[in-house]
Amino acid sequence: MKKSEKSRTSLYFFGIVLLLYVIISFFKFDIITSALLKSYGLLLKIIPVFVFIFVLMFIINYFVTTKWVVEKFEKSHGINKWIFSIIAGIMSTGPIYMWYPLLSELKDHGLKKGYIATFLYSRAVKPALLPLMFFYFGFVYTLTISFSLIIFSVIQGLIINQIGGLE
Amino acid sequence: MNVKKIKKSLVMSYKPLLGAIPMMLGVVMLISLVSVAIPSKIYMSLFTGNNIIDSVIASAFGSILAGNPVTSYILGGEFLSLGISMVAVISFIVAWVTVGFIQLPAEMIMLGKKFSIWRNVLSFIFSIFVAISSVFLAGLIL
Repeated sequence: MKKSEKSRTSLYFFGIVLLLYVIISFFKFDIITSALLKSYGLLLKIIPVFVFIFVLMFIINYFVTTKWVVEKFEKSHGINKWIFSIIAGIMSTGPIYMWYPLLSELKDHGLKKGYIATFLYSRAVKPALLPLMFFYFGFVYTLTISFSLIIFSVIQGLIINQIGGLE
Repeated sequence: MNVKKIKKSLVMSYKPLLGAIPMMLGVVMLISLVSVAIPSKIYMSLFTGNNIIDSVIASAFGSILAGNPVTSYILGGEFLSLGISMVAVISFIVAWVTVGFIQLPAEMIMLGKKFSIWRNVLSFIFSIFVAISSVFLAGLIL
């Protein structure tokens, strides 16, 4: 899905929810009042976390560029390549499809697909969103989920490499 | 510091957040409406209380749904408050961010058909393993 389509879908979704509120308000106004109050409370709790997320995203976007990823992938070897696949995956921002052309190019240059799988899986660890995760799940779960994701990203990469790249 | 790079990073940071606002507002309002209008025992009936089965159900939902991970965290957090198990909620958010059925056609073209299918199937299975392992490890710490 392209960026413009995505933001349009996002707006349509919001429009549908608003419409739902309007329709229900004709029959059950008290439900809508309670729902709006609940939404307000929820948003008040989330908004400060978003300010922090923005700062973290800025820092990551400033230091991590596609050029940096390509250079490091080409220079690293052995266990360092696994470590870099994880770090690059964690630090990579933006939609997943944005990274497909770069990964496809790296694949054509001989990068084993296991590293690509590890990169893609470790993208699930999102440093910029850790404050939100922490807010909802607490420190310990944020830590154990992130740790488990990293371990399973390597396992997935090893399995893909073991199967022989699959192509 | 490079001013051009700062500007570019600022744009790259605020644009996705700005784009996610309508979706986030919609999700928050929908969650609030559902939790007020529908008694929790109705959606709780979707889950069995068995961690493995609940994880599979939650992962299936997470795999089908797509969008900004922020949405999955908000949904996950609210599911927890409704009494859905931590294993199921983690499976849901992990499947949401790691399994990409919507992006699958693009991934198949760019990275190969077999690789993409295998990667997504493994990601689905691993979403359950990650959930179980996270809860187990948290149990050791807490």
